[in-house]
Parts: sequence; C-alpha cells; structure tokens
Amino acid sequence: MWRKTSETKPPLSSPEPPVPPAPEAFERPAPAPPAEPRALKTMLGRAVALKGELSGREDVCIDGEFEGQIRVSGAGVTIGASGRVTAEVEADEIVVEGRLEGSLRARERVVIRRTGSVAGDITAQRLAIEDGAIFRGRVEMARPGETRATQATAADRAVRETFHRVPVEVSEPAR
Amino acid sequence: MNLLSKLRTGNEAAASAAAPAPSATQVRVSNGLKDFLWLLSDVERGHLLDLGPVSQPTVSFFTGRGFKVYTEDVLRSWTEHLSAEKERLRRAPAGTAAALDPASLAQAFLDANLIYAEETFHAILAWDVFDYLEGELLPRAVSRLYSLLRPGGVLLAVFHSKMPEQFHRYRVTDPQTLDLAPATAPVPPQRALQNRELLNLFGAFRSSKTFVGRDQLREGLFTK
Repeated sequence: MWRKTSETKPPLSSPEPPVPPAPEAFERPAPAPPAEPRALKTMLGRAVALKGELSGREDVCIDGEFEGQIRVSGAGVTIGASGRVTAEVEADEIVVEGRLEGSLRARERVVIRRTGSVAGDITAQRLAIEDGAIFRGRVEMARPGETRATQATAADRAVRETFHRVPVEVSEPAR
Repeated sequence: MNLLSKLRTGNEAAASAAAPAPSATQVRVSNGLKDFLWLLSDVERGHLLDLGPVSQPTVSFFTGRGFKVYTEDVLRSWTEHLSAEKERLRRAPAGTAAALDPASLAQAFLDANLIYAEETFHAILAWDVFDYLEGELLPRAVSRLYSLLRPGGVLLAVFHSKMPEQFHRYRVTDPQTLDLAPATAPVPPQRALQNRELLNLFGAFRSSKTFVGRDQLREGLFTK
C-alpha cells in the first residue's frame, strides 16, 4: 500500500543519463551574427556650434548649430530634431527633422519630417513632406542629372533675390 | 478688443473656433480647381504661390506639371507676427512702447511677408485664408496678391457661407478632387464673407466666378 516511493523514485546510481529538463516555451534566439560595420557618419552633436564650410563623401548628421555651406557627394545630410542650420546644403539626400534656413539641393531627394521646418528654396528630383512639417519657400523639381541651378533665368534670379531679403522667423519645433 | 488680446494659439485657438472633434478627411469634387487648371493649361514652367500649410500632394501635383511652387503659410506667419509684437510690448519698459493700431500692425506684417517682385506668379492658391484674416489685413493682403499676379494670372480661394466650424488643410489629389483634412486653426475665424463683400474685395480683378457647394463652401476664381 505504501510502496509508491520506491517505484517512482529512480535509483541514485542509475547508469542512464539524467533526463534533460523540459524544453522552454520558446526557443532561445540563435546568437546574433556579428554586426555589420556601421556606415561612417559625421556627427555634429547638439552641444556643438560651427561656422564655415563642410564637405565630404560620407553621411553627415547635424544635431547642433551650423552656419555656412555643406556639400556632400555620394551621401546624405540629416538635420536632427535639435539641429539649427543656416546654410546652403547640397547632397544626394537631405533629411530635415530640425530647423533649416537656406537652400537645399539634393541629387536624389529631400525629406522634411513632421518636426522639420525649412525656410528657403528646394531643388530635388523627389520631395517628401510629412503632415505637420513647416515649409516656407520655393520648390523646384530637378530632372535626373540636373543638380545645379546654372540654367536659372534672369526672372528666377530676381525672384530668388527678392525672396532672400525676407527676414524669416520660424518657431521652435517641440522638443 | 485689440488684435493682440485676441491672439490665441494652439488648442486655445482651436477651441475658440468652436471646432468639433476632428473627423476623417473629406473628399471634395472641385469645379473651381478644374477651371483653375484649365486657365493654366497653356502655362509652361509657371510660378505658383500656395498660401496654406505645405502639403506634399499639392506640391507634387503642381511640380509634376512643371510649376515652381512657392509656399507661404500666411495664417501661421500672421500668428508669429502677433506673437512677436506681443513680446516686443512685454519686453519694453513700462510706458516706453505703444501698441500698434490694427492698421499699422497689418502693414508691418506685409512689410515682412509676401515679399516678391510684382507680377511674379501665374497662379495663387488661398484655401482657408481670407475668412481667417483680420479686418485690417484682409483688403491689404488681397491688394498685395493682386500685385503679385501676372496679367491673366488666376487666384483660387475658398470661402465659407457661414462662420467656419472647422479649419482644414487642403490637398490637391487630382485635377478635380481635393482632400480636406481637419486641422487646428492657427487663428480664430473672423467672418463669412457675403457675395457683395467678395465682389468689392476682389473688384480689381478682371473677372470672378464662384462655385457653390452643398457643404457650405464657395470656391472663388479670380482672374487678373
């Protein structure tokens, strides 16, 4: 009547290997493959203020303040949400999440995120503007291969000169 | 009540506009837009000024037709102008700065906004704009827009038949369709213009045409 202990309990010196524990409800993820080396990116941090000319061949991200000219070939420029830029910017792709005053010339596309604010002229093959973005200025779509405004007519230049005399005030995006 | 004391922004302005809870985007067949495009059909590489909040579909629509699109969100700029004036008065030592009267305030706004060479534009889009502009600013702004249009240029505007209940962002999606997305009004609505007032306001234009919809919206097409 009271023999169940000896029937169910395995002998301590059992020759068989111990029973493995029940599998877990989900499988452990396989170890991640080694990360790809991150693409090079030039970062201007939010505590940095810089004036001058910036040129290069790798992605640039600006979270601080910049004033001057930015020319990047074969890569993109991102103005981060805390970025404050007054510049002429030329790149393959330009993404604006912060504030930018000046002209934007993209070989491929310009993106203005909903936190972004742009006052100036845009020339690009493609343009994406999210709802809530602020834009004041001119948009001109470039044909493939057309990256510089060398063919601007006298009338265009007159309009642009007039426009650039306008003092621009853009409210700060919400932090 | 002066203009600055009426300045309200954000949710406060939305509340004062007696806006109902935002509803879904409306689709509107627009005969005004259809005629507007017909009048512009011969224009190649024209210049278009959009006075509303920037809209991707509208920009794409017109740049796809060869236009250079200029965007100037007039109501937002007006709000910023009033805020700047309010700040100027606040910072000035007591008794040293006088508040601008409404006419001077409106003129100061136009001295810093809508600055382009005369006869620059072939076309101007003014969606929910004129019903929201202050009384002193409205005729001055219309006069400025007239000077910016080329002879033969055309202005498309939207007016409410009664006091606007909801501000919208307008998007041109095809040659006769507009999407109206509810949005927060930058400033409270000021009026609903009657037909006689419209004719007086746009009297300098060579021709005018209005399209009345069942949704209390009137589209006005004015040719210089």
